[in-house]
Amino acid sequence: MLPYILRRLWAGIPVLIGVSLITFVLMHVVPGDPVVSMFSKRADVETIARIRHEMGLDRPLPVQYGDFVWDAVRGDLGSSFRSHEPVTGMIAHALPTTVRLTGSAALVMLFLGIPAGVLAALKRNSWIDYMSTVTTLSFISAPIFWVAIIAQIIFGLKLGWLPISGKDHALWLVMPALVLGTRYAASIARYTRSAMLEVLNQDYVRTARAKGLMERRVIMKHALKNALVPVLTVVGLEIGGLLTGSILTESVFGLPGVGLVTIDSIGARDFPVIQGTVLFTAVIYVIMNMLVDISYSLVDPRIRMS
Amino acid sequence: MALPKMTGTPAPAPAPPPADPEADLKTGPTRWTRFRRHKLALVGMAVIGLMILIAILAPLLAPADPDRGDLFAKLARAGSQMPRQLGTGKFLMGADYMGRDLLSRLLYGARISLLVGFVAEAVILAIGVPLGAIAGYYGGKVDKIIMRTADVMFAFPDLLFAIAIMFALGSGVINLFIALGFVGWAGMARLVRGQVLQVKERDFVEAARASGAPNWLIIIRHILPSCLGPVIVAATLGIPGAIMSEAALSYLGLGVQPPTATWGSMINDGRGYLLHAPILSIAPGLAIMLTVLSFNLVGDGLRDAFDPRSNK
Amino acid sequence: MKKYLSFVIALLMVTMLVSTACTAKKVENPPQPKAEVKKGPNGEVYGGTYHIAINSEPPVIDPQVDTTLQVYNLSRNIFNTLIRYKGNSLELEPELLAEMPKTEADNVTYHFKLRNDVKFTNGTPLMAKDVKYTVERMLNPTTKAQNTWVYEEIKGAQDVIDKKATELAGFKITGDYTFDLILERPFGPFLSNLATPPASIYPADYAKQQGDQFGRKPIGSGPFKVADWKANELLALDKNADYFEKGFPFLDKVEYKVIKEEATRWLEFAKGNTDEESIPTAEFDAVAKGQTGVLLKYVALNTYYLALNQDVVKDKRVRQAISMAIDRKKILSVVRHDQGVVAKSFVTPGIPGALTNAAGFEYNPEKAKQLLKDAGATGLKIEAWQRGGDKVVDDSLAIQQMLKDIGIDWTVKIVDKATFNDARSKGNVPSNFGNWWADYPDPDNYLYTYFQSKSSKSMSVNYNNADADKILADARGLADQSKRQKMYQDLETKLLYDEYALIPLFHLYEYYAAQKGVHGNLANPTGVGGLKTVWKDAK
Repeated sequence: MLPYILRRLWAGIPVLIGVSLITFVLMHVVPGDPVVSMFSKRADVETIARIRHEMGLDRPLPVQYGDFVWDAVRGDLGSSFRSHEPVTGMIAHALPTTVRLTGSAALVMLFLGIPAGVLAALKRNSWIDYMSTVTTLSFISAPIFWVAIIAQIIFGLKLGWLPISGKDHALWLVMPALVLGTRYAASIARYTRSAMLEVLNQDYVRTARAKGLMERRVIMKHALKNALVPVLTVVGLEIGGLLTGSILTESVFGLPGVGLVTIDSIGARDFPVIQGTVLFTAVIYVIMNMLVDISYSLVDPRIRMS
Repeated sequence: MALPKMTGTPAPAPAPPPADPEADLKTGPTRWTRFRRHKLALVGMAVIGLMILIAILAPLLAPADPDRGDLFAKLARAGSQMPRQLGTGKFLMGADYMGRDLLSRLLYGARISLLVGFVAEAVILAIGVPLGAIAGYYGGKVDKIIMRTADVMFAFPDLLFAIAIMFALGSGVINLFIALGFVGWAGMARLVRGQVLQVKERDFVEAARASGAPNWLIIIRHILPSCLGPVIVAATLGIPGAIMSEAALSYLGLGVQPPTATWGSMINDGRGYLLHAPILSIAPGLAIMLTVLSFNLVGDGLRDAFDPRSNK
Repeated sequence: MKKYLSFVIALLMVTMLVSTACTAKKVENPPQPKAEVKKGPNGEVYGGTYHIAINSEPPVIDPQVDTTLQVYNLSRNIFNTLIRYKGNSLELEPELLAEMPKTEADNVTYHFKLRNDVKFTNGTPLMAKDVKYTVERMLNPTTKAQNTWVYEEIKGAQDVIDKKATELAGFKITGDYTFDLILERPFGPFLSNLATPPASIYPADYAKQQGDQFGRKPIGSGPFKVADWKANELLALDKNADYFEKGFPFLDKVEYKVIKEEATRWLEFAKGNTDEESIPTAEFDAVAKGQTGVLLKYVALNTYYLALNQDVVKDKRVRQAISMAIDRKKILSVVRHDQGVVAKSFVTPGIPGALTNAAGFEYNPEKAKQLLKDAGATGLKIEAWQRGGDKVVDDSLAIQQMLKDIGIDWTVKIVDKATFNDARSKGNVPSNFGNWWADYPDPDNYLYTYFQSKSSKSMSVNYNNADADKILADARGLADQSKRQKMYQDLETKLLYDEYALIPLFHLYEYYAAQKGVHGNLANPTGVGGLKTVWKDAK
């Protein structure tokens, strides 16, 4: 197990280098200078040049990238150009919010997607099946920021059941988690459905049924259990989507998460923060994929870790 | 996974497992019959057809110039008379915040939104399919380089990638195509590569190789046609992804140039009016929802049709 | 297998529970014992918390390095300046000073005397050495200050900026609470510079010790002090109980909550969760009718204009045609709800030396078409850049419609702020609908910025004229005010009515919504305002 994990992490390193390089290149190709963008009114050329020099932005690009990599290897992602806060600290501070948001959204996704998929499979080609498909697909067919604002108007402003934004209310997570989580339920439902259909036709389920076990127990114990293997893979794959979705969700609901830090830093061309948050997201992605593979082999011993 | 995941994709389409050999033997229903059995997919198909028709006929259907307005007709109610310089009709759905006819904008919006969906997906196909095929067919170093690049693209948050490209190129329809295409190719390449790997050892490929056909011909003539199914499914599911991405980028102020109407930009511009003139945002919102839902349903149906496993 | 699944689910559940637990810990404040409401001399109510939603948190509260209005407003709450505007007038009065500075006959030497009863919120008294440190900090390149212009006229400033000196030659401490400032040459608006938020005074020892962290843990002498700062979430200020202006402030607390989305900020205001908010266009009527909050407005020193890059639109007849094609009154009334006046000048009326007796710009689309024909400019296409995130899109669209009527295709390209600033500073923005808010009420602040050749390029106006440069340089140092004002008026007449070097559109009131029961909001004409005088009705 351990060697496998190490090998996987080792294989992730070129990916991370690639991501950091692309980020670096993009940052410098994209118009907009970190110093100029700090000015809100006039920006005189000499002042800009002076500040750029103080920030080391006038050094050759390979040197700047080399410095970044060297520092990153030692766990130092630099400090924000604007607030001078260490980037690692900014991420650490924002992380709990993002973890809670994506974690709860993942829960919503599972609790909506799996039952919808099971129901659809059991009542295949009935109106329940269609309803389940159309409902779950509808959730992802509307832009997230639009759904979020409509939900805020209805449940926050008009009905007053839930807070509109922020996290200083006990129920702050409910609306953002639902808005974000329901979007990704469709794939879970879809995969649960087809996996269930497949399993229901397998010999051992037929056998179990023939033995006279109660239908529900058969489904729950045998079918669902085996159907969940592919579903788990999808969950892992959806994490990437959840993380990206959380950027917009955080921005609409005023949640101080990693996504908000990222978006702000892009707008301000705060290079160290952009570089740090993108790299961090990539690390999460690599780790999540590894976890999916591991859990995959754990639930199904037939799959060898190779 | 050929779809940009930024706006949430219905179902990442990992390469379907190798076709069940038994399934081939069974005298199962043909793909078309299987697709036809999928009632929801048929409904989706009809809706998409209608939308395409609207997009094509927009100049005939629209009562007014979608980009021209009169400030004094700002937020005019549905059914009120249009100012003379805009047209002779009425604002059937009202006027927007610039005094432009909402219905006309909605109809014309279908054009750009659908175009973004189709063209962005075409760009994805144009980049992803050749790269995937080359990686799968040749293997070795080429494969490694292409797939490593794809890995990096996967790990890179694609919304941010699209933002960066839009920043670099500026807003505009063409730039949208490029941004969305560049973001989505990796998934398509991975999918095609997986398919090619399965197909390339088959007898008919071996036979073609033995007959001395050049590699590119083998890929085009023999290998790619047998991968068509999953690619069509992924592409169908990718179109709504691109439409949604356009909306997401509009939200971030990076969509098309005003005054061009797209559903995404209309939703976004109308968002501030949800309390007083909700139709400005709700109408394009429903249009996008219906279209995206239809594409997803069709994609779903196609998947069932191409993957016998899921619909025995 | 089930075990692992339940493990995953349990893990997620825990996450959720922990998060709820964390937030649930925050209990409502225990009910305050009913105390008699304390009132000020004019019936102002003491106490209460003022809630404001902000688009993003200030990276630092350090007006030397951050030029946003948000930081300027915060600075008025946390710091003080030597001089300030009296109420919302253009008149200057001492703030940290015991009296207005005395000027020598040479017009370059100023004698300053500080109040001796001002303390920073860390307890140290505010003295001349703090002022000296503050000024030198701004000029020291390692500070990376953007607002060096405030002190650049002081003798020796350039040497400090160029790292040739660490001490400012033109700053002489003459006592614990007295000092002299010597300028390089006479500079009319100098005292106005000292009334801008970038000229806020910092505590020398503390700021030195904090280095570049000062902006995250600012300490000043202002009516409020930072009590709590949760990154990207909440910035809480507490009343400075020892504030030197007795009786101020009235509020106990100010809370800034970070909400990126404009629509969400408005919903929070509509729900009554925040006390003030800028008004989205769609909501203006509701506010004006008193359905949501109340409308607050005051006259501000600004000019909204259409800039045409001289390198792109070279023919002045074309520029005149564009000016004639724009129905300023209509845009002002429909898009801006009549909250302003049509511009006849670039320098905002009210500023001494503004062009007050100008004729105004004619609206005549027919004549505009003729002008275009004369200039041989048909099928003209001009790209306008619109800074993303600014609330000016509607105006741009209106201008676009009007120019289309005379046959000019004025396309609007939305660019994000960083890209826009970058291109503009290089003189590369072809055209844009923009605005200028005065830093100080002087024509120099407008005309030098937009028409002095070098500066004009950095504003993408690209006006380049040696005569104008000379006038602008001469007028700066002129002590004779009436002669100086005449120079500016003549120059402006030539620039606007002969060359159409810039197309002024309107001056807008600063308007926003506040909850009913909020009083005392005050901002100086440059648009900057603190909460020192604000109070809320007792609940």
